[in-house]
Amino acid sequence: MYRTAVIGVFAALSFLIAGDLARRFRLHRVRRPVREADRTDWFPGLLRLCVNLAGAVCLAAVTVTGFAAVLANTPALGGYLLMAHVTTAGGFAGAALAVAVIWIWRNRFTHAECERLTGGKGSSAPPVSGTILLRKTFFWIALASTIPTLATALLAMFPLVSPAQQQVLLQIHRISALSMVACSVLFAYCALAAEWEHRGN
Amino acid sequence: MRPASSIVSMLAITGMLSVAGWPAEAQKPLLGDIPSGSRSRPVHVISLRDENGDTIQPGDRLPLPFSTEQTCGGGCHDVQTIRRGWHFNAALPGVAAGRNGEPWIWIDSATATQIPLSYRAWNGAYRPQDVGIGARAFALRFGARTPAPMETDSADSALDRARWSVSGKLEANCLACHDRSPVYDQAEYARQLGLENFRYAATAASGMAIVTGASSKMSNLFDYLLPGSVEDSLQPSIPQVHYAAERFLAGQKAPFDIARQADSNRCYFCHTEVDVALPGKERWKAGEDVHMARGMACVQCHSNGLNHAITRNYEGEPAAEGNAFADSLSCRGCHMGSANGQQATGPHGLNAPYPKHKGLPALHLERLSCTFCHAGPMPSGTTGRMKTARAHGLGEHNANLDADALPHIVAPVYAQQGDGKLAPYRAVWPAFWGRMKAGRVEPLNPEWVRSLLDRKKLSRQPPADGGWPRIDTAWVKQVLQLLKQSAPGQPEAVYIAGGKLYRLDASGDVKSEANAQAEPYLWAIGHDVRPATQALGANGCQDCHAKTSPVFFADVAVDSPLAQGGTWKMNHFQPAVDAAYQLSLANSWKYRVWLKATASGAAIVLLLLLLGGAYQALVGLSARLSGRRRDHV
Repeated sequence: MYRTAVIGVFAALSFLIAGDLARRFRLHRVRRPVREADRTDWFPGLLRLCVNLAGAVCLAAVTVTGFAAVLANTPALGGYLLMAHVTTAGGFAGAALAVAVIWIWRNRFTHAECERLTGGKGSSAPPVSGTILLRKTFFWIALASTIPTLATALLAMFPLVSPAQQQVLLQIHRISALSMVACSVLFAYCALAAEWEHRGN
Repeated sequence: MRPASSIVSMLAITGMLSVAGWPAEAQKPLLGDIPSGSRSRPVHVISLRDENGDTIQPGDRLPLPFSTEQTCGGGCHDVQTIRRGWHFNAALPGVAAGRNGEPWIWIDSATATQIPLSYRAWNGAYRPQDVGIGARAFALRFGARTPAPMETDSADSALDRARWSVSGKLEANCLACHDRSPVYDQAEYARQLGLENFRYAATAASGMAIVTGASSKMSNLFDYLLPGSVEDSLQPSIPQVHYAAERFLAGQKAPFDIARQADSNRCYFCHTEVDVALPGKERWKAGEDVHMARGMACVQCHSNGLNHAITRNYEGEPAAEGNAFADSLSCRGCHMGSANGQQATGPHGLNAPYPKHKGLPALHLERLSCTFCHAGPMPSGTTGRMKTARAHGLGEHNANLDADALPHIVAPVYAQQGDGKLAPYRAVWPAFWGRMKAGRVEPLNPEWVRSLLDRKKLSRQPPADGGWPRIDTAWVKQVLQLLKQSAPGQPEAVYIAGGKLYRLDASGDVKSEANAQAEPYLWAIGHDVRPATQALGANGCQDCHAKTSPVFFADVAVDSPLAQGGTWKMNHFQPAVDAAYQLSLANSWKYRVWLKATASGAAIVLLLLLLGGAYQALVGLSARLSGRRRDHV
């Protein structure tokens, strides 16, 4: 059942992203040249780029090592794959923290976004970008999913829980990890899309 | 069908059943086999019977020894059913062998022989009759440690068959387990067997009588019922029974202290196993099985009904098949609940503690037996040696207590069980002479080899410590050539020792090679069970997941009479374990603390960030509900 869910989630992600990309390319958005103001502020930009790249690589690594066994329909994650998963998970934990720190300020919800999210009709609020709203939403869900994903794996490493309880933790880990990966991918895509929209404007 | 034909058919069936000896009624249980419901110990004040079933009058001039089968089974206990129990049925056809158990190890230092034997079809052990060892030779060597009845078999020579009538047959010795009398002496039983006083052994061991004389000194024509026919010089050596009058009550009946449940001390006589360094040293320094230390008895787990199919308590044993109660007597069944869903309350209401195994990944419970962590000697860089009661005669008179005395039993060896789980084992490296037949080595009768070597003055002088004699490949070559010359036309003679097969090559030199039959005979360690605080893993994962972890990387000492024994790696016995992976895992362990620290720190900061966001959201929500406006929430 979990394997079906994983395949379904990955298929839905691919479908959503591919569809949105197709829509965007059809609109022929013109990329705006990099503004002079951006060039002067090169270090934070480079840092953001590095952190985002590191986050993306670690996410990819932890996703591949984590879900390979599930997709290959093997009984359990073990052996060298588990070792690789645990190793990359350490890097992912650090990268996730860095990405969160970089993005958390930009992903605060504005009043207008709150109005839109809650279905309110605020008249004075500026127009809200749907892509940015989705980016922010996925960021917070990804953040909320990352914590149980890390915590369940960590708890199992300490002499605190029995093997039976570890199985419960494993189930939580699997569910929260799937949620984290899906939301992280969508967050990353929305961030890129928002950037394209920003440059197109 | 018409009525007339129905009646004819019924009569015909009735007639056929009568001819076939169909029992008119089920056999009634005997008096002593009917549970009275009382928890008290049944009193046994009984008449002693000889092997013909006649009551013994201890005051007779030449009283006979009592027969355990006649005395216990005369009218009280179903000895025929009991004789199919685990301790008695090794040689019976159709009995499931179960997993490997401790073999009988035939040793002969003079011919550098150490061969595991068993009447059960255990992997790596040889049936005595296949090695040319008859029942009499077997009884003389090992009879003291088996309560099973023994009499002549097809491997006995004509002389052996004659000697059986002199010594008498070995009966099922009920007293070996059930006699709780402080004077019952199994070591005396062993001594009597050494004197060939088979029919007298139980009587002598019981303390009811003193037995003098030795059947071994009697001629092949000796008749124990006609002692007067023995020549005068041998009269003092005629086996005689001198019953102790004070052991009899009025009516010539004798009280026996018989317990339904065998006392653990009785079990220990045959089932003791200790480190080689322990015999001869102070016992109080030795450890003990945690169950025994908590006041339990062997029979509380190794239990049986009238059929004496005593449970061995490993998972999947035939005796527990379809028997939920027997299934609950295994480690897992008692402590964690049996596979059939029975709760882990423990049999007999013992309320066995449920192991929490905190921090232990569930994978370990799937791939390791309970004994892997909890039983046997603690592993170290190299395997040690053990002595067992049966192999080394512990508890018998004049047992060789030297640490180097044969047989050499190596432990602990962590090997893969039949179900794929790893478990601790004892190992004995076979060393014997044989002939290659159809790709298999058929062992030669060690006694025949010895007589051959004796004739040619090639047998080695056993060392005083009882260990291996000094031999080398030159001697092996001499013996192989002798075996070749002694039986021209016979298959090639070979020698197995120290994990190798030795044979003569075309040029007449000795060459060694690997051979499956040279691999050690392994049997699982079940005891002593260590509690959680002394189990593997009590000091952390690195008890096993370290670069020098003995359970994966220890050296298993190869025991060989030849000097170049050497060692094998533990991993040789773990075909499903990837040693390279285990080493990688062990190497990665030092980074685990960093992993934990990084991931913990990240998780905590991420939680704080999330809480910060939630706080902002709550503030915003509050502001909205109170009508205030802010740019950001």
